Amino acid sequence: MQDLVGTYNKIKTLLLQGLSASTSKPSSSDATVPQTMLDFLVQLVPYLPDAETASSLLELVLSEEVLQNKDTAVQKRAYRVLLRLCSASGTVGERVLQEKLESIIEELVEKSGNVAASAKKDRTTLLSTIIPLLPADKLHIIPSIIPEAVLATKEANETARGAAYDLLVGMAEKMAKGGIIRRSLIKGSGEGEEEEADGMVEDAEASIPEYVTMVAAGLAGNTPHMISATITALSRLLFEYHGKLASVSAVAGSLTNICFLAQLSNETIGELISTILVFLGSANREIVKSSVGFVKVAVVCLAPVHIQPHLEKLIPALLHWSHEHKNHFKLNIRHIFERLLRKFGYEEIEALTGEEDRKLLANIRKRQQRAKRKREEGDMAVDGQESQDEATKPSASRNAYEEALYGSEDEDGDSDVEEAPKTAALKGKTGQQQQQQLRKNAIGRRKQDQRDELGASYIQEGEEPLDLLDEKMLGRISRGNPAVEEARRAKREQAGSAYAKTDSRSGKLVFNEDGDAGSDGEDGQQGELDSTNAYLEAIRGEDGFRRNAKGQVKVNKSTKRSRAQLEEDALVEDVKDKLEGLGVAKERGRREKRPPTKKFKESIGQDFKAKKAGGDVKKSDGINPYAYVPLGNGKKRAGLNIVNKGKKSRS
Amino acid sequence: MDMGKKNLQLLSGLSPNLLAVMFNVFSKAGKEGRGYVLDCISAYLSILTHKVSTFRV
Repeated sequence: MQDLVGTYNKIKTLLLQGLSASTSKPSSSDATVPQTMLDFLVQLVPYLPDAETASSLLELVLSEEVLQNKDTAVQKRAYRVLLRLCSASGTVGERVLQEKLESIIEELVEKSGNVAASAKKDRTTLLSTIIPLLPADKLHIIPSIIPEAVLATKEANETARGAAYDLLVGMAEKMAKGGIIRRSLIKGSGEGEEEEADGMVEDAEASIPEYVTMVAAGLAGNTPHMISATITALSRLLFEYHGKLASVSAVAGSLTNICFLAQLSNETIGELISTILVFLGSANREIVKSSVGFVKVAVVCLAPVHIQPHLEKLIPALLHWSHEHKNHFKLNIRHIFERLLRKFGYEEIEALTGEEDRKLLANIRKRQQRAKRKREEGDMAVDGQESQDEATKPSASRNAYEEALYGSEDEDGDSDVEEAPKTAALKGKTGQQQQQQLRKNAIGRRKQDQRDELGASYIQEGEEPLDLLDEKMLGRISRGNPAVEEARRAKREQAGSAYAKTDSRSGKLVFNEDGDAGSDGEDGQQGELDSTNAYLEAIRGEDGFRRNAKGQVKVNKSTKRSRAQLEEDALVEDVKDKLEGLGVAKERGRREKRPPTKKFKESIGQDFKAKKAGGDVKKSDGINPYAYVPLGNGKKRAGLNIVNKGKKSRS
Repeated sequence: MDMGKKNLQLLSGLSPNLLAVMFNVFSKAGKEGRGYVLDCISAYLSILTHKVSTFRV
């Protein structure tokens, strides 16, 4: 309607005015005129009435003033307008687009002068929308965009990174469909206008291997940043196109052609891996970080046959960095080794690791066994009444590529691994196939962990369904399996605590104080001592008697010697007490009568005596100190005398 | 169904004026409000009657 055209023209005039006026207030919080106008234009695009206005708008936006305006906000909006224009799907709209595509591309790609940093995301999305529209004879654009796309994979903004990956994959798809790249058309590739006699002007056939070679050219970059970005890009491409040749039957000649174009050949894969292996040994941490990422993707996706030849060099290179905790090196390398163990078996990998690093493998094994045991326990306690909330979004918020890059073998409590970025977009169909495969792998994981990740919870219901308005509703929802939790609670109550017990009737905590416990024991002990003493007195005392074998009573002789011994014993006891009171060393024993036992006693402990008060010396061969003291009678055999054979024996 | 169409017709008659107002509001809206105003503008643009829509998204 005239309204629309009128509106459009008005906006356009205002915009042009605003642009020429410009830089009155460069950094004000309110939007400037050009920005506002462009915002309106963004909204207008879907409703433009005719082709004329559309092309006029296109030209306006592509003009240098707008597209390369110093103001970043203006640039951003310009890209957004273009994005909307290029996403047009009506028949007339498409025609306009095709006509103008050349000019669009020219402005966009070949005059990419001052792209503002914050406009990169929009520019990348625009490019990824345009690329599928490229006619097959314009493929020379792709090599010009590759460096930009690769560097964009290192952007801070998550969506920008996603757009960069999209762009890379989009370009790859374009290449896969075939065509010819005329190198002569690539401007700015060194020689430019001059025609070289050999090499430079050759046309190349577009295919995935060719594309990968082009991307890999970035490995020769100047900065580690570029190299690292290239490796990341390559790992993404590897993930998408390592391909299963079995899926395409090579019957007809044309089909083999497609097969050849759309997959990475084994040689290419091999070359890629060996190149990246070299970078693994680099000193720069950024490069190593992306290399480790590449290796992880490779180990996860590729068949063992591809990795086998490189194992010899791969494992030492990985182990070299395996003690580095920064940048998650240690963790990632551990995950890689878990996968390697699965793929190649323990023996083969053990053969290639040095002595010091075998510990790592052993540790991995132990973890796996532990996880397995836990899984079995958890599964056994699973039968119980449970009703799970249906998981609406499983770990599909992590697309398959990220799962390969950040996931781990069995995620048993490795919460530091879960750096799951929440990207919405699922990747292309190859990516989706991978996703299904990974989901199947996930079934092997511990069920409770899986449920935890899905956000499931247990609802304990009686007869009626859970009433959400009930006060006690929250109490019925629990995180863990109710059967397991109950068992754990019961066990805890049974075991009780060393210091307190719950009185069953009153529910009070009764504390075990030392005095009570101690005094209880002591009382018993004292009683026992009294009875023992009475017994001994009855046997050995002055008035005591014994019966010999015939049953005849023999009264104790109270000889001089025995009297003297009794006195001495009493004396010794006194002295002992006093000595202990003073803290002096204990009695040395009566030398005359007890040399053999005494020496033996000393010699019993000698072997294990430590010089520096470090406790008993434990010998690797022979007995340990706390066991097996040999017994014997007092005088003849060396050994501890426990039957008091030397002491005042009667009859 | 009919009522809806009649309402739409009424609105599209009013929309040029509304749009003018909305454009003005937008410039005063500030960062937070801008998005909502834009959505509104977009909605009203869609019902603006025009002869033939040749450029569809």
